[in-house]
Amino acid sequence: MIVLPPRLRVRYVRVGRVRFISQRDTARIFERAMRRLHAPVKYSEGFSPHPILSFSAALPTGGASEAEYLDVRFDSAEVTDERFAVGESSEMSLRAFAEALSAVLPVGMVVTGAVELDGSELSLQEAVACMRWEVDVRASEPPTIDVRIANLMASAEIVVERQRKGRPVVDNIRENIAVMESDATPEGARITVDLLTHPRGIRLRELLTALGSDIELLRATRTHQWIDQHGERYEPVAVGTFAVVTPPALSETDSALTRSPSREREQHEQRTD
Amino acid sequence: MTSLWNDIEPILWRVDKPARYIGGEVGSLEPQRHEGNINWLVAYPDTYEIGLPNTGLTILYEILNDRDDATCERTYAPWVDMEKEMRGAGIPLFSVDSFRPANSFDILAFNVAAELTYTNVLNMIDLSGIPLHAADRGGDDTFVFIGGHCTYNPEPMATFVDAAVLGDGEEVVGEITAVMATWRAEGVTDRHEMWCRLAQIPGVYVPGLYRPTFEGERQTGIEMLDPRAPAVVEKRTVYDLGQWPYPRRGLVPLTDVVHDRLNVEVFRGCTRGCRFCQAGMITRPVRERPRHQVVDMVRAGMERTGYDEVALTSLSTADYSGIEDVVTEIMDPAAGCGRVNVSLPSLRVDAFTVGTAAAIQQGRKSGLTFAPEGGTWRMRRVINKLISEEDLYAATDAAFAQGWQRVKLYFLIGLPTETDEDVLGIVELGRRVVEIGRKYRRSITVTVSVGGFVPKPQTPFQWFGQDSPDELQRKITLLRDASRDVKGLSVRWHDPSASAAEGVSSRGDRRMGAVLERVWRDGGTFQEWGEMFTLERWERALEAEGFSLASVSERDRRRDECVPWAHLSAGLHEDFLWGEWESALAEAGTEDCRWTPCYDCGACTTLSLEHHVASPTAPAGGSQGTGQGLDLRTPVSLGVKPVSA
Ligand code: SF4
Repeated sequence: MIVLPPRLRVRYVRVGRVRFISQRDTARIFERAMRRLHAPVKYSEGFSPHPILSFSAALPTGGASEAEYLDVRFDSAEVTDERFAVGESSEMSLRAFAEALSAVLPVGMVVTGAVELDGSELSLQEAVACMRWEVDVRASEPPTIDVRIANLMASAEIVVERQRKGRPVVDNIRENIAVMESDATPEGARITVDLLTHPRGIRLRELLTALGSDIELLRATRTHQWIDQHGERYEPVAVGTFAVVTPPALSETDSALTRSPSREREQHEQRTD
Repeated sequence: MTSLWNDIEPILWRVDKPARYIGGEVGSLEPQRHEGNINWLVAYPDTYEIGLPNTGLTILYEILNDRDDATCERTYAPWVDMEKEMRGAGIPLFSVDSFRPANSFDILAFNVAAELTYTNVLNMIDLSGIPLHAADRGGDDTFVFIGGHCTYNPEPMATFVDAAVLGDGEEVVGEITAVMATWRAEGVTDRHEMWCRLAQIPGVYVPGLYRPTFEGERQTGIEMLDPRAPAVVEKRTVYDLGQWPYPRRGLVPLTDVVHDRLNVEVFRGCTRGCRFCQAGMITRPVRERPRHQVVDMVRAGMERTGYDEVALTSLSTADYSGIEDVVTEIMDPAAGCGRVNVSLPSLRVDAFTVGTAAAIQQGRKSGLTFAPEGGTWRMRRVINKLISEEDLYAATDAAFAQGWQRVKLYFLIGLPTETDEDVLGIVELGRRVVEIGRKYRRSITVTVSVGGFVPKPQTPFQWFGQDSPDELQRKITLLRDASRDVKGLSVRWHDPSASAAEGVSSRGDRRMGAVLERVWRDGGTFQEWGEMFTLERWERALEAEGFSLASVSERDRRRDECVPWAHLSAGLHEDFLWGEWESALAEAGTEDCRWTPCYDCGACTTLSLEHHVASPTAPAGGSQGTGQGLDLRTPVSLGVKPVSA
């Protein structure tokens, strides 16, 4: 029997040809996989109830990833299969769940870690502060990629035009780029870049356009996503980690759902002080 | 032959919806080839989103892969952007299962369900690097087959295909495989000999073994070029669906497609006898799937796919014997089908079924669709869609009373004997339905949707010349003007020029092949897509070949004229079709033979079959001929979760 915790954070990879699906497709695939598995996923209320799954920042269509995350809630009222229960989970249960879930996901999608949440955590979209991409590119004209990167990093402003609420706005994406390096490859270059996600994210395409209109994107893999805490970054779930929460000494009275993000951040900091 | 994946991968970054080209669906296979296998590539000549849910292709995919002597993979029409990238990079049409090139397969088999996809078939043959014309193919070249509803007049495609397969495919694909395996073992390399062997298989039509003769715009006859070619090719009919519980694995796509749900076919055939309806004529007799098998297939399907919705499909699902019992059983938690939403596409709706639908459905009610098809009782007698005004009003009244707020009404214009009064009758019906709805709520809306009628082969209207686009446009303007001041009623229509182009292939003869080729070379792919279609392209092509819309689609055929499909049979007697045509002119109805005596249309008698139904009694709500039948085309959702509007 697999005992699932009420809240679980799952890490998975999306590589190979399945990377050409969209984020929406990815979400639907997880919904169906959970149903095939008979996993007791909690459903939302209302006219059209849907499984409660929340994902980390959208992975672009075509992008591979070794570090995708998903928060899922389970509910004992949804147990329909005696192989599952919801309650006090164990590392063994989480490993078994990861294996079972991987088996019903398409080739190229594999669960690589899972940790129980206690409900006080920030959502993935709020929590993730930085991500690393490895991007294989080819430039049809000079200068070389490393020269372009040096120029880019030396500039104070890289301006992109975006649409916000139907209006054109101008943003500086230089602030998003923490580190950017490149290595020559037989095809062109492999760029490794750490991108900051707050206050506003940046699209991979925008970054490549800033490097030059002749840049051809060959492959891109998101290798890391990090949560930032007091200048230290850590992965939401490290590869191969399967862990449950130790029962808290103090009971939390307010619900994570009704808490405002700023209030939550405060609490988060208090706890980690 | 090796996979083209490494060449395909880099171009996928640059195209719209790349998931169309990657396969990998739940239920898909990457078959291993073995020496001696016959390798099939089944193709849908439209986008992946439209082709993937096609149950017919999925069934053949599974049946062939279950055999030891065959493999089967799939392909779909690449969208314009992808085609451009493929041609630019020298990548041929490929399988989405193993990414092998199409010309490494023994057979490229298209499912043709709509005439406007024909130019896509040409494009896909060309993208494969297979010679476009069957006459130019040698012993080693891939065989091009077509199957599906359009093959009841395959003549416009005759020069491009090696064979057209008529009727149900379940059995015949095995026979084709065996014949090909035999000639391979014997080392036969002569294409003509291969054609003759294929032509021995019942249901397989090899156009290259026949030559039509013409005089002016008319076809005068058809000659057989080899004594081994049968004089008449009869369609194939699978009598017992219970023997074919397919799809067993199904294909659950990784990306968005139409009808993205579990589809379980509950019966084939329809004998309501609507005279304009080709599907109802060519798929007779009615063959129902046993009730327990339907429930088993739903249970296993939900388990395997993770879908939360099942559609019970057929030409008229409310006619399935004991439909309510099946739906009730599926939704019963004890049946083990899980949290499931049942939808019934093409549900005949009358006051009775509306009540049932409402009783089962919880939550918000979106739209209900009714298909009276003709605007006046006279018109509906002509087309044998015997729904009285009172029945329609009672049904819509019931729908509004049950809380539905949007009602859609489907009609055809350009029907035989149609007068302006019949056309205006459509608005009149719409106006009355709005009035009925407003008794319940001010905010209700009624949409009238009209399509231009295209006469189809092997139907009682096969001799009738269709309206010109101008005439259809005139009727649409009539409708629009008359409906202008009816509040709450909106009129929508299909592009009349698309109906004109459809007519060219629907009843055209073999000479239309050259027209199709011109349209295709002129850039006319994806002709079902409004943004890709212009009638001028078709008119130019017709003119270049010495034809016109007037001489092809708008021309009435005489009974003594040799129709291009005269040597192909859906089992229907020609004098049955003609008799129905005369009844149409006499405004006389014909009843549904499931519950009234057989009138020998030929379908059962030619094939020595009978209807195969799960229950001998007529469904509640009445049958065709009692004046109580109504059809519903779009799904109504019966279940714990409504489909969003
Ligand atoms: S042969 Fe008779 S029973 Fe069979 S479909 Fe025709 S009319 Fe109906």
